[in-house]
Amino acid sequence: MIQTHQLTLSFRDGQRRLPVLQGVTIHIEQGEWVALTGPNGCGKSALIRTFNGLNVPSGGSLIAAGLDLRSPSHRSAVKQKIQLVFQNPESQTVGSTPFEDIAFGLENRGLSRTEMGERIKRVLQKVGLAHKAEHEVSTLSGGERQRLAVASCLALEAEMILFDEATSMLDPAGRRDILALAKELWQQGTTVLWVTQRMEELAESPRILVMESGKIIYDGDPRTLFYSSTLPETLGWQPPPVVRIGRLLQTQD
Amino acid sequence: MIVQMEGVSFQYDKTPALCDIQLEIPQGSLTVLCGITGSGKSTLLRLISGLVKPSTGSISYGGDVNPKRISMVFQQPETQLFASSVYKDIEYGLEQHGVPKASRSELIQSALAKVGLPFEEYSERSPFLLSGGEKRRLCIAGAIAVQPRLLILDEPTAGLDPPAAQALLELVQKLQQSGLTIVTGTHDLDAFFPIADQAVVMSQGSVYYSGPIHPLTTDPAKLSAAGLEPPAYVRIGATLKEKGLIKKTPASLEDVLTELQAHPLAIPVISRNIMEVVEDADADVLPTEDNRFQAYSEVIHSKTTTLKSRWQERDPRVKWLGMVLGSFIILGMHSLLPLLLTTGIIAGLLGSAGLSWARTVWFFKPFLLMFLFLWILSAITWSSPDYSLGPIGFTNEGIILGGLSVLRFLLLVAIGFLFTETTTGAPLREGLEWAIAPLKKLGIRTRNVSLAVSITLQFVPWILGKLSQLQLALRSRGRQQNKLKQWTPRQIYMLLVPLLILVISMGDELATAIESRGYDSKKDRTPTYALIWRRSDTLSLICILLVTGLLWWCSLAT
Repeated sequence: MIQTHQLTLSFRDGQRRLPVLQGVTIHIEQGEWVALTGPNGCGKSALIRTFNGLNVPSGGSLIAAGLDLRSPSHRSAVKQKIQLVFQNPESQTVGSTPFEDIAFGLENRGLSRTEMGERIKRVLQKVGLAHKAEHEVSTLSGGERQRLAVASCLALEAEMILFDEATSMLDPAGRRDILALAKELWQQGTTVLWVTQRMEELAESPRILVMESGKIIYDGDPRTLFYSSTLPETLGWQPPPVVRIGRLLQTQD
Repeated sequence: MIVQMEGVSFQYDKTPALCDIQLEIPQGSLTVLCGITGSGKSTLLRLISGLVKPSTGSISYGGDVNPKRISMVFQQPETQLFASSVYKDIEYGLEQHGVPKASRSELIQSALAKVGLPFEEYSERSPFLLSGGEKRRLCIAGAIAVQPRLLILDEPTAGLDPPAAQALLELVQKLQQSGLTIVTGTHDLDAFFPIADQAVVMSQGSVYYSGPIHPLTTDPAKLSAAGLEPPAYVRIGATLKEKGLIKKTPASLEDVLTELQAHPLAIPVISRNIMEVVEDADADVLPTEDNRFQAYSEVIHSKTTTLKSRWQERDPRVKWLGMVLGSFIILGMHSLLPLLLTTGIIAGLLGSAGLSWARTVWFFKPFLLMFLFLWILSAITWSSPDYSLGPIGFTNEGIILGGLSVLRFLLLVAIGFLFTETTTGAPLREGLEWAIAPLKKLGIRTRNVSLAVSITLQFVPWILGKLSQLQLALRSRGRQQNKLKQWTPRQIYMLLVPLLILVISMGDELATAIESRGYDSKKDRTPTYALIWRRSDTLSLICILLVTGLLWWCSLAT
């Protein structure tokens, strides 16, 4: 689904060029669930925005959903296949009702009005918002708005969804809700890249990528990360309760 | 007791938010206030702080505490930082508390040191360019610089990365140890329960539990009943205790680990079981705030649907035409009678659209004082005044002309309000695209224009919401009793800068979201919303033409 080799990205700041990604090489298979973490400002958002063509790589190679993103036409085509759910529930709804919001992404795709209507209904049903199709978006809770963002991705028939700390601004109930929805989609075949700062979400992911200063410093399973490496301590993390107890029991065993 | 609440209730626009609250906060304690979203946490915090007054009941403060000696830190740092430097931001609060200039620097240094932001490094930096964790610390520094007796924190760890959240937790503990009484609203029970002295659990606007932490951890069902998930150490501890692996109910994860370590027997790999326990607890999905919210919003929805939908069904072109025509005619009115007539008509239209009084007041509030200011300004004269108030003179003519201009502006705002409240984004946009379609022939990309207009109009309520959050935060620093003081040029300037920053960053995020959905103004587009002209629209059109014609004639005749 995603294949990068020595991917670099830099942003211009006046005369200077600030390196954001410094040689990222990763491979994500179709249907995988991958968690991505790292401190604020390490380049997580920049990396995933490169995957759906929002950022243009400065160097290296990037093939996403079978498209070589060095070509501008591929960068616009990849947005159909790889979709993003952003962190702030308030700033990603374009329409004033859930129906209109999903319609916004569909209107450029050359579909008939009936087809669009059916597809919108289907995805709203899927995320459990069918009864609120015509409600004003401002009356939805944070969790519902994030579900709406997921519905927009589904309407565009995304093969992969990138969740950019999509639960960090939600309360515990909203967080559980979005995580459960993402897991359901993953079980049905959608590739998921889950960006998070929450240790318990990392511990539940089959594969974890850890970033620091624009580089991937760990790519592997949670067991190795939490039980056999010193990386969590080096990064100042407090491992989740399950891991701390597990570690203790391991030493007693 | 530092704070004592008796029979306190509070209502938002006749909707009860808090009901019969009895609460005591002991001196020097750390109180955790928890409850699902919408249970009344934030409202209760604002009542304790004295920022809002209860509808009924009484709040009394003990010792030398009064609302002036209470500081509050709100959830979003972005809506409570105002000044151009860290130093000035903290200084503002000190100035409002009447601290003389000479002693300010020392207090600022000490506050920054307490929150772990070195003075030399941070004092001249812009608050808006700090990281999330640093902003949060700065807000706390501003709050403690005025040496409060009680500090109130609303969700202090929300949205922080793990090291920043951990550091903030240590800061809270340090502040409490220094003798400060702290009340914190939070969802993060795992982090706060082990360090708190007492907990207040809110459920549906009432206090469900108030007292020490221990009974909540020995009987987690109490938390579950209020819709809350017990902390992980409590859930794990309960299972381990049940299986005889630990003896007492743990008060923190450290307790679990210590007891397990002291266990004489090596335990076979149990981590898988624990995983299952945690998953089981997760699977036990509690009633979420979404369900409650759903019920609430449906009630609201059904009430206004019939009236509003009649307006929503009108073709947007009729509404656009009505708004544009109405605005031109209002701008051309120069005497009182037609303006009063128009006011009556618009008030009737607002009523017929089922727009609630509370929402209308909320929308107009930010404009009112600004217009009052303009009115006074246009009435002032330096030569031959009709009345004088000290050195300032006013003329009759200025008062009348100023009053008429202000009324004209208010009517324009009212037409805009009526239009945006009764037209959702898609019809608004399609109607506009239809009207500006001729521009396409001139090579202008009308798609971007219509998108920008519809999004801007849609975000007016959002901007007003952020403005009232900023106002509340600014008020919490200064404790002005006089409402007019909120609108001095300095205060307005202080509000405008952070508001502008919020709007720009919102615009930036929205633009990214739009681009990410594959929006391309050059591509062909099939709108989902179809413009359909009905007979009732023709009737509405005739009404609009008649009424505007009449008003025009009236304004010419008077």
